[in-house]
Amino acid sequence: MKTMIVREFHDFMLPDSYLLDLSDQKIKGCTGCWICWWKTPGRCVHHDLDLFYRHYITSEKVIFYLTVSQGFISGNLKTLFDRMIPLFLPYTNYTSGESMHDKRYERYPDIEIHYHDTFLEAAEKKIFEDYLQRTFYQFHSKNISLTGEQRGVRK
Amino acid sequence: MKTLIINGSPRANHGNTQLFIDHFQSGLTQPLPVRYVLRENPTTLALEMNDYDTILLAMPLYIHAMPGIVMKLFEAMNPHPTNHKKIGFIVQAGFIESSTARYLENYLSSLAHYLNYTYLGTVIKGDAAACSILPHFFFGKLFKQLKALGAEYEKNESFDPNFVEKLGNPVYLSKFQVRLLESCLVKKLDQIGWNWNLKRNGCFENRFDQPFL
Ligand SMILES: Cc1cc2nc3c(=O)[nH]c(=O)nc-3n(C[C@H](O)[C@H](O)[C@H](O)COP(=O)(O)O)c2cc1C
Repeated sequence: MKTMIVREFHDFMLPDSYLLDLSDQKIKGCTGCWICWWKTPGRCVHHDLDLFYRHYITSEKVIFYLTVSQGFISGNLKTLFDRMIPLFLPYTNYTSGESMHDKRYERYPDIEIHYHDTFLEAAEKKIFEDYLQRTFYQFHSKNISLTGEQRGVRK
Repeated sequence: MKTLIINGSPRANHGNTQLFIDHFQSGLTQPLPVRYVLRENPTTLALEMNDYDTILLAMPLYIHAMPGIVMKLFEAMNPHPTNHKKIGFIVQAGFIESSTARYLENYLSSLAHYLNYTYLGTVIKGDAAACSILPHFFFGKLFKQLKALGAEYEKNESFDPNFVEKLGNPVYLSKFQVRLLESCLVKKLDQIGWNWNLKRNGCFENRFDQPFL
């Protein structure tokens, strides 16, 4: 099974799988220009994520190792999510009863998330988990799992 | 009481967030200072925010939450030692139903609590992606509501719940709205803007490209 790893902590690695190490790669910010939707469909003006895009849509599974930052996902990971918009079409459908962007590719990977659980309260943890579930649901992933690990101190 | 407005859009003063801020400000007798997250070092801005009693942060919804640059600003903020500070948010989004910003709203309220700020609430407005593109009259009602929101803010230092509710409608799409939006005609209207731009850029035929396969 083709798998990709995106990690902010841990040194976990699988042979023959692509690794995006967010602990040493700062993702360039989305500029909100819409060029990926109306000028070069599917391609961002920045090219630092071209390999990531290729591996993301050809992997069956993407495994994330995430830190919790200020009770949410890190700014660097949020930037990665913002930059994933070219993987979808600008057109919206409402068939699920909510607004949702159409797929650009036929299939999207399953998502396995492990995060460094530093939450003080169950309510905060729910906000974090609900957000990630929702995001990958909107990103058309069918199976999404989340596991908190290694309880520690909040950053 | 000193208030600072922060614009969290990656398009800074060229986008819809700026238009929201301008119309909010048009309801005030004294304009408020505005800072742009895009142009600032997050650590410096987070420090300078301490000089104000109230922060109003306006931003676009990006992937159901704040843009990456705004999260980097949040990461630079520390809990305030006194509990005299206030923070409120204005979020505008492309999707019609405001429930899509519910995940962000939950986080913002929790963050305000963690940072020891009094939470003034989050104003959410959907269906706003075209407001800096289409002629003014399409959004006349929205701009009036934002002006009134500003005027009420200046009087009471809070968001008037009445306007918050009005701007947040619809929270969910009704079955009727879904049927209407899925109907051929409305779907075509929905796509006009994107298709017009694709054609203008000579790439309409490539709109379904899958460059990474
Ligand atoms: C990368 C990106 C992600 C977006 N994600 C969402 C979203 O999840 N939900 C939504 O309703 N609108 C979304 N939008 C639309 C923006 O919220 C909308 O276009 C907004 O008006 C932009 O404001 P600005 O011009 O001030 O930057 C997104 C736009 C971009 C560029």
